[in-house]
Amino acid sequence: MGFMAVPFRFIHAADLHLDSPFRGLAKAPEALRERLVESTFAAMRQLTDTAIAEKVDFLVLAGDLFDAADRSLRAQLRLAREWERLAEHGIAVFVIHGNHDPLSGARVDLKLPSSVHIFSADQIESKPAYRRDGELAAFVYGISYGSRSVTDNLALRYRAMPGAPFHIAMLHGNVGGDNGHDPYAPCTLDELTGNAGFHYWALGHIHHRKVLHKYPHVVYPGNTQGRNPRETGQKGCYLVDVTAAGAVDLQFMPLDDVRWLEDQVSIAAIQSEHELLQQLESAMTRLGMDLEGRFAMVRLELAGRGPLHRRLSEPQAVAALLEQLQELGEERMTWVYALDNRTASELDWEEIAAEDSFAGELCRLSAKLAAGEESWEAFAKEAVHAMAGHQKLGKLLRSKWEELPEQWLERSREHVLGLIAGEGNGQ
Amino acid sequence: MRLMEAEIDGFGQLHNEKIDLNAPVTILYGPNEAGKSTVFGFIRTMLYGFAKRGSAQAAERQEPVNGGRHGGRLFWRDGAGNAYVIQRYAADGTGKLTLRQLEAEASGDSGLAEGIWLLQAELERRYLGGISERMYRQLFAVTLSELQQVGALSGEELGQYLYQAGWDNGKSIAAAEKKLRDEMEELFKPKGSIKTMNKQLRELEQIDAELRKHEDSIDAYNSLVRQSERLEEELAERDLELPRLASRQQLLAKACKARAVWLQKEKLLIERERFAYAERISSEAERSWHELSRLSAEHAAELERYRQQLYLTEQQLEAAAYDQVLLDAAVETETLVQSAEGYRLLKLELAELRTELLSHDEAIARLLGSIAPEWTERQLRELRVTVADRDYIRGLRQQEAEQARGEERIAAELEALKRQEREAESIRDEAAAALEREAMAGEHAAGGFALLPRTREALRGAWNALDLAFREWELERTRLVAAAAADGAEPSAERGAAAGRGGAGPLWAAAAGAGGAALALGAVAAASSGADGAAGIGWIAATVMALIALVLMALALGRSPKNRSRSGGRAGAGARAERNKADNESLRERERRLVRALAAVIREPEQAAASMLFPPRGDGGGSAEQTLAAERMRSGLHAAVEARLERLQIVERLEGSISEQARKLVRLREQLNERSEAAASAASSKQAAAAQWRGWLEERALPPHMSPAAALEAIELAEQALHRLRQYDKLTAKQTAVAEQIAAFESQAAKLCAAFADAAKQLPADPALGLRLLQAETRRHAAVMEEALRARQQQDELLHAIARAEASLAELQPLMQALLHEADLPSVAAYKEALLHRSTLAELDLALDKLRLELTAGLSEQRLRELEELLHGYDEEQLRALNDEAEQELARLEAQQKERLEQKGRLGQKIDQLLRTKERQRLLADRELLLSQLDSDAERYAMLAVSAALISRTRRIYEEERQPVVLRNASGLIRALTDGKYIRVLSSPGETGIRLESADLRIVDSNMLSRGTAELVYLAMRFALAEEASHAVKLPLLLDDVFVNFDKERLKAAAKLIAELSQQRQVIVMTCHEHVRAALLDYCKDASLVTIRTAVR
Repeated sequence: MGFMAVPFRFIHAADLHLDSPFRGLAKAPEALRERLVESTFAAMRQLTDTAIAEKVDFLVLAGDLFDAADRSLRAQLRLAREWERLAEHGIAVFVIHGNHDPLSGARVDLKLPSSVHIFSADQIESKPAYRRDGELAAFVYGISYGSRSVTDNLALRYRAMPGAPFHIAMLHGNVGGDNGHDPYAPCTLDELTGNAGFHYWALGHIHHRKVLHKYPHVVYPGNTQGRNPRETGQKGCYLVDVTAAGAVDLQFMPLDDVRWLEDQVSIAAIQSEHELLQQLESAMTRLGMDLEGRFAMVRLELAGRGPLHRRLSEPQAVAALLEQLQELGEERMTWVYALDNRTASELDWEEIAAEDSFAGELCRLSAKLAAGEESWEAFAKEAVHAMAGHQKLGKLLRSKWEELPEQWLERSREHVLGLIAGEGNGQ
Repeated sequence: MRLMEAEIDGFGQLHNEKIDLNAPVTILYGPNEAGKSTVFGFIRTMLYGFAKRGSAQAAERQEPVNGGRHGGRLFWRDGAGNAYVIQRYAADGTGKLTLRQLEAEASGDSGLAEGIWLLQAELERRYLGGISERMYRQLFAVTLSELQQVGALSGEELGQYLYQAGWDNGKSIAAAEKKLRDEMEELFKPKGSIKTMNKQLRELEQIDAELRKHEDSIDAYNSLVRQSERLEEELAERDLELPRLASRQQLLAKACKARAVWLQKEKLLIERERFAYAERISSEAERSWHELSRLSAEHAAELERYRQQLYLTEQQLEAAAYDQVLLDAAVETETLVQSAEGYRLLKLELAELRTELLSHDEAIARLLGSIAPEWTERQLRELRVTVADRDYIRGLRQQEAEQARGEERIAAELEALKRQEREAESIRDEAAAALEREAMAGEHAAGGFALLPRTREALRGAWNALDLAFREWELERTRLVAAAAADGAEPSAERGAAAGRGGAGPLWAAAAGAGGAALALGAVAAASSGADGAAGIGWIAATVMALIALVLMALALGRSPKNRSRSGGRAGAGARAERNKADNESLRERERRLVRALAAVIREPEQAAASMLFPPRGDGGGSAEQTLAAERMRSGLHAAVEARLERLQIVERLEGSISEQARKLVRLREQLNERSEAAASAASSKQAAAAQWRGWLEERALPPHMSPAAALEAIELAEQALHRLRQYDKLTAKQTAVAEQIAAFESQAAKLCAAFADAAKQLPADPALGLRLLQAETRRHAAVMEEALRARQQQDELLHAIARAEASLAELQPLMQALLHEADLPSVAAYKEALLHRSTLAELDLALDKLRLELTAGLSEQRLRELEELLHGYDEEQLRALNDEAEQELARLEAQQKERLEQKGRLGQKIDQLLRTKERQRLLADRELLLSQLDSDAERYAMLAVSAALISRTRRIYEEERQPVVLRNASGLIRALTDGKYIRVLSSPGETGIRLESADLRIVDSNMLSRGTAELVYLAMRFALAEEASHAVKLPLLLDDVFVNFDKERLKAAAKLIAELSQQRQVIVMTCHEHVRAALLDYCKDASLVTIRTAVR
């Protein structure tokens, strides 16, 4: 390309979701709740600290810095403070806004440091990014969301400009149609890798970090702090080293202050609740390791078939267990926020399914539903009609009613058979 | 399928039991607790395996309590008639089953004959018609408790119960439905509000409402910040304006306040103009003027004082007058006054002298009288006594005394001599008498022995010789006796003794001699050593004595060898006779010597010797007696000798005394004569001395009888008188001299006092006083003169000083004139006025300065100018108005500013609050929480709802597909059981109850049935279901005492039904009731009875 390529280093982060509210805290101790509420900020501070400690040249933030379009005042002020810290260390920041924090949202009138650049929503801009010693490192491209819902394929509009040794494209959107996330700015991976001239696609929006492609790199760094039970495991950012030859090295840096974790405990061969509690405890201990001072929000799942199934199918029993675990958790850095029962009775389903009995009939029916011989949707809709048809709940949980997840069927079958065909069922 | 036999090894209380089951109907009869249910359990266990330990049915495992191996065998035949046996033992790997075919007829299953391990599922599938244990329990085991429930249930429930009896496990399905429904309702009701989710929904709405109420914090923040900034600007603007205004107002205020001062200042300035000329006088000139004025005043004063003094001095001089005559005599007068004391003393002395003279006169007269009446002054003056005279008198007096003492001594000596003469005569006489007595006594003395020697020495020597001879004799004799004894008896002894004694004598003597020599030598040695030239004579005597002793000793030694040779010779004589003869010869010799010695001592020695040597014979004693007598003789003689020696000594002494006294008497008589002569010569010399003395007295006109002692005394007195006389003469001369002096003094005094009348008047009475008066007068005049002299001197000095002062004054005048000129003033008075003005001017300036200071304090030049302008430009009224205006303006502005500041503070607070508040955050969190709860609850609800839907749909299938058959079967059965009273069992779709149709075609709801009928319906439904459920394999039906409560009729019907059922499948009935047993036996022809005994236990 004719330009002196220089090695540089930057951080790619996205989806800070500052000041986002948390779920599953009904019984959590006050200190933990406080910590959870603060956790997105803690991760943000950690991001700044890391950038300073690792002496990066600049930072790219690929959208969803704030959780809500009406960005929290607190969050904005704090973020500005962090940016000032970065500016003090000569670290530039490139920002695009995403579907959660489109530019149309309320903003505090703040004077941001000149080292911070926020891409507009009008068109794709490009900005030179310099090393801290002033040498040009790369061009950074990006566009912010003007409003919440952007369904255009933005990726197609990116064009690399001549004049820099390395080109970084920032894009907030759903690449490859991830069902778990809203299909904003949809595009395919090929569209990105096929867009010549870009070396690094700094993506945001999908909270699960993954490297979709290398050379060119297409990267979701995931969010910086898990915010709900689905966002489990380490959360953070990517520290990206680019050599003069253009080799890209990614290093994941954890930033989260509270970590969401989950684990399964099988009840097979567990005879008593006491024994089960011990197993759960050891699962807690296992999860509590390697936290390095973080707090763990833990969901435990009871699975497998075992004699305790019937006892556990009582919600109260599970609640009692959870309560005990939570009592333990107050001492540790581990809080069990949920204990889900996915156990099954020891019945032989196949046998039952073959059986000329009510249970057998029921099994066969659910099999038919699952197989689509009968319409699951019609069946389920009919079943939950009372709630789905409720004026408010119907609206509130619309996605649920629309989706009608098939796991309901399996769980229901287990539940019913447990009730009617389980051991000691009334005789 | 027909069960043939149960072979129980050990199961529960049963053990080693064989129960024959091979009959269409088997009645197991036994009392309670006999083990009927155990047999039930055993059959089930054989078919489906042991109940698992720890499972809900663990109690049905039935470990053997009475021994035996846990397990057993079950024999059975299938529909085709093949016989099998199932064997299970708990010990065999959790009750693994073994199946064996007993009579392998038609089937070609070769392995079965030997018996095979079989999986339970396989067994069920191939031999049990696919019936699981669960279904087996639900379908083919009917218990009494199920029937008893019928009695316990009420209307609707009963209907349901009966309805469900037509299903497999219908009861638990109903329970499940109920449970699902309950939980769903707990979670949510479409129209409810208290259910969990409804409640959450309501809370959510509330939170949403609250959130809406919370204003948009960002807009608020932005607006607040903007307001704050605007305020800031305004504040800054005003902050610039305010000081200027304040300064202006301050100046105005000052102007108001200072106006009075300012006016005064102006006034003073005008006044000052008037006195400005005085400034011409410089302060130096002023100082000079004052100095000159002071000096000229001083000089004038001085001059005046001098003149005054001069006048006084002149006055003084005029007053001073004195007498020169007196003054001329002043020295003389002074001298005389000084000697006035001497004059007084002289007078006193004169009086004393007179007295003294008188006393001397009297004393002389008295002394003369004492010496001699006729003595006068003339004799006295003529008397000359020399030292020789006095000595003479004293010698004379001594001589007299000595003479007297000599006379006395001679007389005493005479007396003593006479006395001694008498004493000597008497002693001599006494001694003569004693001697006479002694002489007489001496003739009779010496114990009968008449001793020869008359002197002591002779006697002692004679005795000593005698004693020696005696001893020798005695020795010899003894020796002879001893020798005789050696020959015979006695004589040899006698001789021996004598020999011993004889030997001893010379030895003793020699020893004595030697001792004496030694002694002598010792004495010599002692003397020579101790003498030291002291007693030379003693030394010589000792030496002589020693020599004598040595000679004696030598003699003794020389004799002893002779003795020895003699004895040795004697010893050498051989024959006894010869020896005796020799011995007797020797003895004789000794005797002779002895007699000779005796003769020298005693007058009659023969007698004595005889008595000694030859005692009277006849005496038995012999030689011994002789010895004793000799000894006695010797001692008597010795005593006599001693007495004689004593007496001889006494006589000697007496004779010595007599001769001594005689010598003494002669000497005394000579002395007496000498003394008498001396006395006579003394008396004559005494008389010659007395004559000489008398002549001496006459020569000096002294009474002749005067003793030397008296003469000495008279001389003493005369000398005293002479002494006095000389004193008297001296005093007389002195008196004359004193009187002359007094006269001279008096005459001089008179001469001097003539000049002063007062003194002259006093003089005769007391010259001293007069003189003192004169002296005082003289001194007074002297003082006056002195004063006059001083005044004159002062006068001179004053005149001089006046001249000087006048000169000084004259000098000052031109200087003052110069000053006047300088100040351009006409006169001294004008100058003085100008000076006064000058000081007034200074005061004015001071006041002005003060006022200025007051005005300008703390003001800059600029401000001061502005102030001046104000004061000049406005009068008081105007100033005040201006000031008030400015004050108000200022206050207004300040208030405004304060208001803005407060506003700013409030804004800051609001911003702070906005930043701090977490309310929105909390609401959002709560909202999330609620949403999450709603979500999970909805999930649960959906699951429950689907569950319920599944049950409901399955039931519909059941009702549609299965129930018609069951109901038809049941109809047949109920007809049989009720003897045709009821003919049909019906159900209506969608409802859970059942109804009956009676023989008269009446439809009866199950709710309305009697308990007994209901029980029958229940049984009918169960039997029908069992029938319907297993088409392929007819499993036996097991009834556990279900007919207990049936009356006779019904029991009969039931028994009949059993009999009928048993056509199709094997029926096993357990009962502990005899009537049940009887009924069954009555109506079931093929029934076999198995009685289980209580004895088992």
